[in-house]
Amino acid sequence: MTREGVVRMNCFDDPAGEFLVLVNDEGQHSLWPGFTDVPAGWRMVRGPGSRADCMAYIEENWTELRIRSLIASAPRRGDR
Amino acid sequence: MAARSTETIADLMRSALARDPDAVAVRSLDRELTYRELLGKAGAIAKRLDAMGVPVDEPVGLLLRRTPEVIAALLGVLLSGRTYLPLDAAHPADRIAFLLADSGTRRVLVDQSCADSVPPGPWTLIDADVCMADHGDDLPFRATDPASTALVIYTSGTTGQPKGCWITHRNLDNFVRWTVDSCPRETFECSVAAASLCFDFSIAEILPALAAGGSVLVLNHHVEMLDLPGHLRPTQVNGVPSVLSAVTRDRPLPSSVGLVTLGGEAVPPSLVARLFDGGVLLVRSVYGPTETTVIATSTYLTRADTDRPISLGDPVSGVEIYLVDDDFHQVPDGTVGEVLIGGLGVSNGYPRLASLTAGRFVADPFSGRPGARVYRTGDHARRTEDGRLEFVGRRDHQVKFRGVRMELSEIEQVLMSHRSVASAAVAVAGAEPAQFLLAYIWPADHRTPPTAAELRTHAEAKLPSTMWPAQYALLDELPLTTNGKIDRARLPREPRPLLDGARGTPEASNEEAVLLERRLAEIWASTLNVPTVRRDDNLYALGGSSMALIRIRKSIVAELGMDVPMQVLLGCPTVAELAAELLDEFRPARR
Repeated sequence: MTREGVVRMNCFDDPAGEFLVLVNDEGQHSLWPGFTDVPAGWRMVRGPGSRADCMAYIEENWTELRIRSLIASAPRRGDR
Repeated sequence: MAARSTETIADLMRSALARDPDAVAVRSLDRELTYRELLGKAGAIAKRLDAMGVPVDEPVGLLLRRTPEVIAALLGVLLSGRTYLPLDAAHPADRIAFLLADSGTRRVLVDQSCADSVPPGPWTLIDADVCMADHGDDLPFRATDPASTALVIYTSGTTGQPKGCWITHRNLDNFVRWTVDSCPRETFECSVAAASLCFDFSIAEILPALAAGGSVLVLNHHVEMLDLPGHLRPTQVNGVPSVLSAVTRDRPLPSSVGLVTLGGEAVPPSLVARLFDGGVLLVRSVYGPTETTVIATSTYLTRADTDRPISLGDPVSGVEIYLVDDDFHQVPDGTVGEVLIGGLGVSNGYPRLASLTAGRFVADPFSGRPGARVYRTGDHARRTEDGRLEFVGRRDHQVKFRGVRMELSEIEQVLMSHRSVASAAVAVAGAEPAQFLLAYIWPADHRTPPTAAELRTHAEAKLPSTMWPAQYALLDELPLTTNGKIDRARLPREPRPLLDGARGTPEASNEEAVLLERRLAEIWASTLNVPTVRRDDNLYALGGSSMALIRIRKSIVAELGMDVPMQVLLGCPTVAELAAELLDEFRPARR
């Protein structure tokens, strides 16, 4: 089967692809293609699901973007 | 080397201070500060921020004129372990307000002349000059968490809103250590700082020189380098190629400049040749998105680089580069892949933009460091067999032409490696099935543009036949986006073909041309406030700024009835060239 005529899409940007959401010990989130092994130091918190579903999960759940070790060491000012 | 790898900017500056507290650290056209004075003033700022209880993770805005004190204010924030948010008084009030609110900034360091530029809001202004006026010997150094944010820097986002990026102290320390180690010591003696602090390249101008115990020369614009008083002898210049091309068009950089670092856009080999011809010893090309801390790769250029595509070079120490295919697997040498950047330069992402951050800063499966991230640049490159990393283009400039998927920017890179080409854009033109590749050329010198035949020979020697442009066109103006890249949407539909033979520039041989030159010279002289302007005087050398260009343009409309595109003015910095460009439209009767 040739790829002639098919413009391939980057696996992170494919709206029809299957995705996971990964989180590391610092609480940082990563979109992740479903077919690829999960790298060391990351665990799956969502998926497999559509790209839109995973992005919505991230928007909803990753609300404190500062890394966990900083939040612990420097208490946050009040409001923003 | 091992011992060095943990030294921070603060460690390096402490050592510089201890070695020679009376050495000059910062200069401007009329003043200077020693290390003792600079760090004393920075200490006064840090003390004030401590007294106000500013948390280390709450950004402190910087909105000051370009004097030596702006560097002291920056260091007062940075070396006390805090976060700075650079602001620019030239930006619209709405943008300044957005940056302050979006970053969570509540204190802004200002001076008398800039205080009015801060829009009203839930933030407090601190007069930095008052703060620094009665400084003592208190130093700004405080315990700093390397993982905390050192600056929030904003770039233009695709959604139209600027997007911030959190650069950490660890990111900055690594960048500065590498820069100090990778440049000859003497090049830090006097580093020109001419970029806005809002542009991340300003970091490369300022911090490494101070960490190395050298000095920084604060200027308002690179063009000021051409007419410095004799005691100011800059040794290092960092800049964007298009700016330095304009500045060095007619006059070389001061002979004291030993190192020029070019970054921010593709480097035209014609500029490299000009810098070497002008006596610069070292020319360096650097590459890196803001998201991975100023510079990710760099390479010193040689004369050989004046006629081949320039390599991205080698990674900064502590930084890793991977090239991957669409399935996120590393590609073999010779194959084009997306550039991923890992290691110590990877920033903490975009504040408040969770899904954007999670899609661009992704889990790193390559380094073996658990929990690490890589940044997906969207740039494409390939590693050649001799190990050079060649930039190929942006992912979003891929097209499929006659069944072949190609990067238009790859063709552009090849065209730009021709000495007479300053910039090039390639587009697919015509309707199916008669589509063809059209190359738009912005010549290095409008008086002597290359011929189509020359470019054809050049392209055919370096590209497969499927990628040869069928037509070449000369751009009369270079349409640019707000961040200085070619705006493809505004390339002309029916461009002027590039002639196969040489094109002559009309001399001021007839009466109309002489008259037009005289009128233009009068407009320039009155705008620039100089007694006379000769036909070959370079506008930039006369002190022309972008404001002056705007005024000149208005005067030409008002007095001569001609609406001259800004890019024509930029491309014709002498009266003779501008007159030649405008002669066809000139109607003396309109006076």
